[in-house]
Amino acid sequence: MNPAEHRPNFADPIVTRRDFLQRTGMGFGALSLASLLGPEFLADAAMGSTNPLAPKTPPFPAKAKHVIHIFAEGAPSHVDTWDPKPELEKWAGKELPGLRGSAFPSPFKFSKRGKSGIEVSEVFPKLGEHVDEMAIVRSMYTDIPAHEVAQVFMNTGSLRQPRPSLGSWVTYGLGSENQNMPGFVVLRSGGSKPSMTACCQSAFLPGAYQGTMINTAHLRSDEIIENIHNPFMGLPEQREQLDFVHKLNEVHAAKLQKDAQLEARLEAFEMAFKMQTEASDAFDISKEPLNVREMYGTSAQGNQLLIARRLVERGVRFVQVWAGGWDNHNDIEGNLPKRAEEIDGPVSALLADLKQRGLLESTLVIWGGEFGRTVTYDRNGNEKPGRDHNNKAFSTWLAGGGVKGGHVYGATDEFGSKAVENKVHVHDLHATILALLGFDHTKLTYRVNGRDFRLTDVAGNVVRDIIA
Amino acid sequence: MAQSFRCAGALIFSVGFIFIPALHAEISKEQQAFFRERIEPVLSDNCYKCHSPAQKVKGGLALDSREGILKGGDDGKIIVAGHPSDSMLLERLASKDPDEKMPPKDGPLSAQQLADITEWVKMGAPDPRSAPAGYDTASAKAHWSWQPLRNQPVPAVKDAVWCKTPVDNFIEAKLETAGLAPSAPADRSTLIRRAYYDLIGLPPMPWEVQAFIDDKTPKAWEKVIDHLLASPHYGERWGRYWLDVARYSDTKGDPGKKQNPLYVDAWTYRDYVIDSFNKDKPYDRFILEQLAADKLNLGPDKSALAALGFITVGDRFNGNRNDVINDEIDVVSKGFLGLTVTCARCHDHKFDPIPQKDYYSLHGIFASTVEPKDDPVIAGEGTPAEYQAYVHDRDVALNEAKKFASNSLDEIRHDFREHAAAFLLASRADGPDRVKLIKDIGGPPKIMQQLAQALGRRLNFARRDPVLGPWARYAEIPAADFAEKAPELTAEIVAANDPRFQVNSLVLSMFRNKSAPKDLQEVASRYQELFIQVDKTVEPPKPALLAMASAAAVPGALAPISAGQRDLEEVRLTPLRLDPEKEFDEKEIAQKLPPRLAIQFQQKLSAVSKVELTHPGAPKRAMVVEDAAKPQNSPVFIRGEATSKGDIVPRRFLEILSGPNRPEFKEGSGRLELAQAIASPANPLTARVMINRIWEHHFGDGFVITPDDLGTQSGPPSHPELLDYLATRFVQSGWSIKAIHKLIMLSAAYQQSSETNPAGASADPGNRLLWRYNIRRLEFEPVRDSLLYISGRLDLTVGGHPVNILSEPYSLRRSVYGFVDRGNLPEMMNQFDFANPGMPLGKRHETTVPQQALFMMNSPLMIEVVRALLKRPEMARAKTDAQRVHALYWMVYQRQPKPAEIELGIGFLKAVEAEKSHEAPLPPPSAKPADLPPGKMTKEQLIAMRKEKFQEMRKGGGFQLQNEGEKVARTPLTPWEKYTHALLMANEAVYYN
Repeated sequence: MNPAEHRPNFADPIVTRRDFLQRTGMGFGALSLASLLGPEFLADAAMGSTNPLAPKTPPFPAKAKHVIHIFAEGAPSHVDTWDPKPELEKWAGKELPGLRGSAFPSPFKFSKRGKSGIEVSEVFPKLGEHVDEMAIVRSMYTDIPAHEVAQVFMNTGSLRQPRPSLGSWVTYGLGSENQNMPGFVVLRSGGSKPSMTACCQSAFLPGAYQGTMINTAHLRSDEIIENIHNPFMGLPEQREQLDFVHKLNEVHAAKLQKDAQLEARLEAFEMAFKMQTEASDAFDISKEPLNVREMYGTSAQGNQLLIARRLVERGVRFVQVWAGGWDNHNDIEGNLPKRAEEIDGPVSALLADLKQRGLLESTLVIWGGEFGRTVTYDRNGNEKPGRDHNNKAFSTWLAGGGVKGGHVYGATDEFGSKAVENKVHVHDLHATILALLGFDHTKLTYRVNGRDFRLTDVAGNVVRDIIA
Repeated sequence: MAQSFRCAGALIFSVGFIFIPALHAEISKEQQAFFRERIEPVLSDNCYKCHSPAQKVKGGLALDSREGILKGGDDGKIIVAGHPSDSMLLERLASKDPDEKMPPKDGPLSAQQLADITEWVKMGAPDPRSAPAGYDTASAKAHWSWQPLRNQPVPAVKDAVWCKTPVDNFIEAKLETAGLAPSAPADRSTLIRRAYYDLIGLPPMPWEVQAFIDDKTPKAWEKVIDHLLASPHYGERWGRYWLDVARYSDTKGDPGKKQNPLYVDAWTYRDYVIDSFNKDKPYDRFILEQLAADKLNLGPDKSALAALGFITVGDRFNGNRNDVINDEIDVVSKGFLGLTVTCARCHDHKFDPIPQKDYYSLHGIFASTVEPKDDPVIAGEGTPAEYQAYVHDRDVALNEAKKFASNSLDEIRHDFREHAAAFLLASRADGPDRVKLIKDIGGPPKIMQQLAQALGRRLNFARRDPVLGPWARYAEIPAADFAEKAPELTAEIVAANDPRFQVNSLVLSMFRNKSAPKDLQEVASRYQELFIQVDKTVEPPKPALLAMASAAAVPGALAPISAGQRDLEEVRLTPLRLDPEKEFDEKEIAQKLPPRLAIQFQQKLSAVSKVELTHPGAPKRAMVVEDAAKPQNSPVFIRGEATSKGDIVPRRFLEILSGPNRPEFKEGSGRLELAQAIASPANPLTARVMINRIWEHHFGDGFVITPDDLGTQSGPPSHPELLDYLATRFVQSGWSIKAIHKLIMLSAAYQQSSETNPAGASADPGNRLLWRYNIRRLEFEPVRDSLLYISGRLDLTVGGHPVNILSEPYSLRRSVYGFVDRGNLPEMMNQFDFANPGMPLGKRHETTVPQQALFMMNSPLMIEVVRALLKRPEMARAKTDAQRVHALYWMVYQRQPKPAEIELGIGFLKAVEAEKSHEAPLPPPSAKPADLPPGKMTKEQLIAMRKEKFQEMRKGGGFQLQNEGEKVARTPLTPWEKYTHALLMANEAVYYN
């Protein structure tokens, strides 16, 4: 490792010069450090990095530079999708040993797919073609089988206390490559879920790391980002006006006040100006050629994933796509395939498209929910049966971005009721995602009131086996 | 992980440069550099893979921390400092034995690397990476901030002429030691702008600046300060700082299912804070009131009860009591004491001497504190007519809710009575059987399903229910044994001599003098008959709930009813029976209703809340607490888990501040005693923490830059003697905050220019020594307030109900009166670094992001301000362009424009004017990206859309206050509007020097 990179604190986003001194432990008493490193260094760090989203290099080399997190909220059934359990057939309708309720074998067939021959459910005919890109973790588990709390936990590593979300941490650690766009974008369609705000919050990290929520159901450019559109004047007029503002600022700087933060504010206006066109452009999928549009399909879900690719392509660091609808308490045989079909094509298209553009290598794609489902009938005994909540087992897959493809990690017990082999907790998944992005999760910290906080709290083991 | 919160106190060592003075002293700069450049890279490249907790810890050896290396592995120590030849580390690194050599696969290290490591061990293995784990109690207790305040002598300085107040001697002494000199005084227009923004968060008006410039008397500056301290807007500025600390919000955040998300009375706490600052309430009294106003002798005016909002306006954590208590401990300890006590929730504090049992001493106090159901009225509001209007509006909304609840319950009961047998049997059945039974009943399947489910759950607890009890007990008999066991049970029921099982007389009559039922089916049938009878007998009277509610409104007016009537009513109200003694209890009703109806009911209640929250005639109520009837000590929760209880600890204060023999709190919950211990002159932290906060808001940073943590992990104070001097004066002056403002602002240090100079910039780039005044950026509130103020539109009313300050039509009230929704903080507030109401916050972030610029460039509010500004009389009076520019500079920047600036402005105006002929037409509002087909919504997305309102209502998100007024006209800007807009966007408008 390059020793220069092992100064994680200096690479941290510097919010203000005072903040710089504070977060890096360089209070008044630490001035000797300035002399150690030389005044140029200090001046650089203090003057140059007032932009919290300035791109940063992670401490370790990493392939993944961007993340698309497809959040299958609602808790998809693992035994009907990625985790085949033929043993359940033998127990169909009978009480399973050690479990309450009668066994409910999957109504779907599994078959070997790809070169790796990983078994995938028939509900994902197209995604099955991509198993050789995926590391499928079949041994996920989490702390609680209640949707909202588990969703917040999956996204922040904390059940109740307000903590920064995964996307916020990643953006804090890496900044963003496109200064004309938010670094962390959350795509939803239609209504917001109650847990959504908590799931993309920056908590004690600066507000710049908060996920910008975008409702793809109404893609009006002025609704993408607040105040992105000026209803009073066109861009050329505004350009002229901004040039004049800069002149005013020059006078101010020359005659009255010079300061790094003033320059940063000036830059922010320039970024904002460009953002007006660039942000609208990023969301404008009509600019895609027809064959690409067709590849993703014209459903809202397809549009959403196409937008995700356009964002990543433009350097947005973290895109989260809410793709829920998996809470199959009843009629899993009828409902789950419908939902699966809605994402099967678009997500396959996303993987193929990223690959053909050479973006898959640098983009970590994650698909998974907040927990899994029971292998027995739903307790409410619906006529067409479904499955209940189960936090002891679920499947999540990762692809691209340095992930070992065609790989299955961990296993549930013979029925799929709980993870037993190489168990992966939510904290472990977080640690692994950060590792794929070039971070030691124990060292990506932020100091608040005398304590260094991190995404994985006091836990988390990196699953090395799924890293290529 | 069994429990969620797992410790806020868990500790993560940062490998970065956390300078521990002692450690720092041991390691020279050269040694540090040597380690960083030559040793650490070798370790991380070759060893961390197997020897770091983040990856693996083979042989029990961790090499990624100082402690790890010193501790060694399973085979013992690996380093003998100073003695490479005795160090196993080098032995293994140099070994050729395949079983011994390190690194095992890649090895060996290069000769240079080995030489470096040998050299390093010889040096004594100086390792700057992290602080040693744990703390040394004795030395931690010696930490400066918990030592008694020392009345510091004013130091002598060389440049005594510069010093205007003793504050300056302390500042000058440090500057002289560092070989620095203070800056020249700021000019008067800069100075008065500084004072106005600092004290009231608004700029001075041009004539106020002029008057100050013209005032040549020696007391001119002091007069400005006195004037501002007497302004009612002072409390709005400084109260807001305290509201950041108090994590103030008008909503509950995570209210828990079926709970009202709003705090309709939180604003009275906000007004109390503003008022307390305005009145210069002694800070010790301010503490006592916020923690224990209910236990103080307040006299006839009970308005100080609102102070208790400090405890109650926090998040509700989905109803988790221990999380709420944790939040209360957090706000009290960080807010008043600068102590991170909540780090000791799961284990002893890792850095500060706060044992876990001290956390649970405080836990007991707050666990013994409860909220009454209704917030007491502390003052009327508005005119009698407004009050009448309020009562009327609220009654209308409330009756709507009651009617809805009552109708819903009655409908469900009716359905139940009609199909009682089927429901009862369905509730016992499982799986498809149940579905079939319910299907046979008919009716809307969803509700039927829900009801059967609810019944099923209820029956598990129904053995003692006077109506359903016998059913539940029969249903427990396995089908095979029924014929055999039923007579026995029947006899038992009929005998009715077990006081645990009181049975309704009508139910009893189904079994008395009758043969025992032969199967469960028959029991169900008998119930069915009874319910049909009751349905016929009982003329469903006026909706029962309404009757109850109105009866409860007039105490004692509940008409006495006979036992027979009561039994009839009891059956009729099954299975959704509400305690007839209870008044209209929203929580209980919400619980009785199936989810979808409960949400609708909640929406009706929300309409009631909205009236309470916003109606000008709504009386002021205080969000109080009171002591529990039986205050109790709490046990220590082992690892913070409520389920594993350890020793019970007495309610008392923290050992670090009151010694090992501190008394136990005896008076009720102990809140008042806690408040007294905090507000005591003997408490070294209370005054220091507040002085540090005040200093921070005057200079941009406190003496300690972490205002909510003065523990061992905080950096050393920049001016410890001055901090103590001011803290001592603070206590001696009777805890007067205004006296401290004046003492600080009269100093030469405060009145310095903010101009930079090379000497200061290189020796002290962070300006910790205050060789100049810091340039200050305005926060969100003063930016918005100033815009409205200079345009002459700001509503200067002090106090009142919350308003929507963000969306059109715009409110003209000051930002401190904006509705704060912690569950759904608007993006705009986030982008402008508004204090996250999720936690106490003494220092906001100060970020610069493009979204802030977008607001300045594009928000209609800016244009509204621009247009109003140009309509001011000063503009009408100006005759020439130069005079108009002049007037604008005075209003926007509160200073004279320089000739070059006038020229610049006129040049811009001319250029824009010239283009007017070919000015582009206005862009269409909210252009859609070109011909984007909407895309077919998936079924899930459609459902999600429909659920939108439903879900948002549940969490209180989407609660919108709407202002009245007109939206900003979307018409093209005139050259003067563009110019004025530009002035408002420029840096000078949002900074003060």
